[in-house]
Amino acid sequence: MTKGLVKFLYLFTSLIIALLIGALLFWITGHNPLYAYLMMLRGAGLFGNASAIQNTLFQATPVILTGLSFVIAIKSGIVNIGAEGQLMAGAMAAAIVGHYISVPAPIHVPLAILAACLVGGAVGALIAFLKVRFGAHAVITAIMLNHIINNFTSYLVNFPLIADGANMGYTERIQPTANLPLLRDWLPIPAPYFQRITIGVLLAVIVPVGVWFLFKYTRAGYEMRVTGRSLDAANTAGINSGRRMIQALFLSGAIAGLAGAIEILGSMNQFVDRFSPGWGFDGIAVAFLSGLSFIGVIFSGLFFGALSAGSVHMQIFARIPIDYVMVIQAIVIMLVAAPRISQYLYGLFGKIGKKVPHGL
Amino acid sequence: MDFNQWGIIFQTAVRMSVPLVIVSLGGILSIKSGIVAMGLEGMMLMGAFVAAIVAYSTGSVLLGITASMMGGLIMSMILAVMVIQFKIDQVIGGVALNIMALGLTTLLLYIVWGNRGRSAWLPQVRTLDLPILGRMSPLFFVAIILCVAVWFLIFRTKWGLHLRMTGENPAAAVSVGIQVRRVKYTAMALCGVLAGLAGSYFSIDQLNIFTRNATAGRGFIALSICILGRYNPFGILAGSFLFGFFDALSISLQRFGIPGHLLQMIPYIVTLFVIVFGVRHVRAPMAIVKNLDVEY
Repeated sequence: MTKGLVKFLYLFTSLIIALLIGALLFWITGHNPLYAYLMMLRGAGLFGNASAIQNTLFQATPVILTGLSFVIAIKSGIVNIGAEGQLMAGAMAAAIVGHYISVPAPIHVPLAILAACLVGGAVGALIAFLKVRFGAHAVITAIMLNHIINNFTSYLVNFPLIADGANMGYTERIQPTANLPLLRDWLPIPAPYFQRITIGVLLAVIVPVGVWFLFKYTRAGYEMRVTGRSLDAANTAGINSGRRMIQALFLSGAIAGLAGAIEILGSMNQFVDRFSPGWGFDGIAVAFLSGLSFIGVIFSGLFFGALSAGSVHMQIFARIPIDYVMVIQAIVIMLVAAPRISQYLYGLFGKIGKKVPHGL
Repeated sequence: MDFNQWGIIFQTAVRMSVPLVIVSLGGILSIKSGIVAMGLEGMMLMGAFVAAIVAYSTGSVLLGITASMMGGLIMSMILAVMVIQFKIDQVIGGVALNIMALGLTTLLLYIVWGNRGRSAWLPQVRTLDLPILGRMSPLFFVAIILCVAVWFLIFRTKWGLHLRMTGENPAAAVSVGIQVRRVKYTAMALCGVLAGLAGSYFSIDQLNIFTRNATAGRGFIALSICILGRYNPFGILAGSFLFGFFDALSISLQRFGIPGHLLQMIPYIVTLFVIVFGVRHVRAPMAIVKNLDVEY
């Protein structure tokens, strides 16, 4: 078997184990696991429901990007669990540019996205800067920044930027020129499929490929990878590792910010107080399930998007709370990130497997 | 602000720092054994929830508090097995544990009380009326006693010596016959018990309700307190009071019409500053975070 296939099999097995533990959890708490999973499959659009498929794509878009954001950071040697805050900061920037600046559509959308990427990237770069310059623990600074940004955007949306006549926290709607173009305006897509899908979904495919190219074929990407593998080796080789880490975290934060911008410009059209259901953290599970691969996050993100869309459906129609998904995510992370377990599974499928496949 | 107001802030600060002291003590034990305590948040949250549910169903806060320790213990054992047995990256394992705790508690919140946001009203620990300190939870005294006890345990007992050796150099510890694995498990168990106990403060002690994500990042604040306190039980007393003070300040400033959202940022901003500027010369145990390839 090829190495790629073995890796896929072991990731897949981890996933199955996590889903089985999830089934156990359903069963213990008095739900029929088969029924729950069937409802999820239906809500995720596996039976061909056009609106359900769109829901899956909508849910997958942000987590593909936050997953990618996590992979970029960890490949460069920093655990970035600040995607949640970076996403919110980016979303706020996009909402502000989308409403308060008036320019024609072909400029407005890129401008709003750029603003979101810059703000998200700045937050990410700050985490790396504090680590490089002061030795501050990146996980703690990231968590603190998450809380600070959550509270600060809450303040903005409840006080200075609150919409006229709003009785709870949301901003004015963005101008129509800032709406992400719909895919159906560009491509001949037959109704009823993908009528609401914007170019945001397209970005969720293009950006990972672009980042993969950056890391594989450019000097900057190479130096980031070396920094992530071994700080000593990077420094010995004359790589400015601190600078590369900051650059990588800027990219990581910018992509999380992009996820926020896509939510604002593509589906919500306004910033709603604490709108993210934890997409930043979902990205961690997405990243690990992909085996920390730039391209792989597209598929694992799609899977978790389906899981989320399915669980929303399950909550509405079967009255089973959506929080099971969170537990399943945590189990996936634990299974895939634990070398002893993955080594065992890896060895199960290929005689090559003594080495752990990912670089943790 | 006149003297009276500062007095109230002082009292609130002490009240807010009690759980931070207890959970940070747990953090120290874990860190001293060479395991970074990223999962404190999850252990605390589970402790808070278990305390809530047991106090609710039995009507006894004492049983609730006892159960909170069990809740924390279970979570810490999950992390311990993942880290010690399966060699998971400590940071990732902790992050996963926190996600799991948030998911499980929210799920059970819904199952038990039919609401994803908050529980029903719970029985609450009766406070004592003390001179100077005002109304104080009995856990205040527990925190002080635990502080001395943990200091004694780490620095004055044989087990404490083993613990510190394990954290500094597991290979050397193994070579002199210390059962490193057992020491780590014990440290993590104590850590979970303490974190769970601290968690109960957020559901049935200061409040009489469990809300979703009740601990709101306090586990990470505790981590920075551990560093600020130089991994010393008495050091964390001071560190916890500092954070309690800013918590209290943010509460009392709300009367001046400053939006709560802004004030709630204060403890997190302080943590950020402490982590960045306050801890330059604090050295963690040598073997921390590394899952050294020692067969123990």
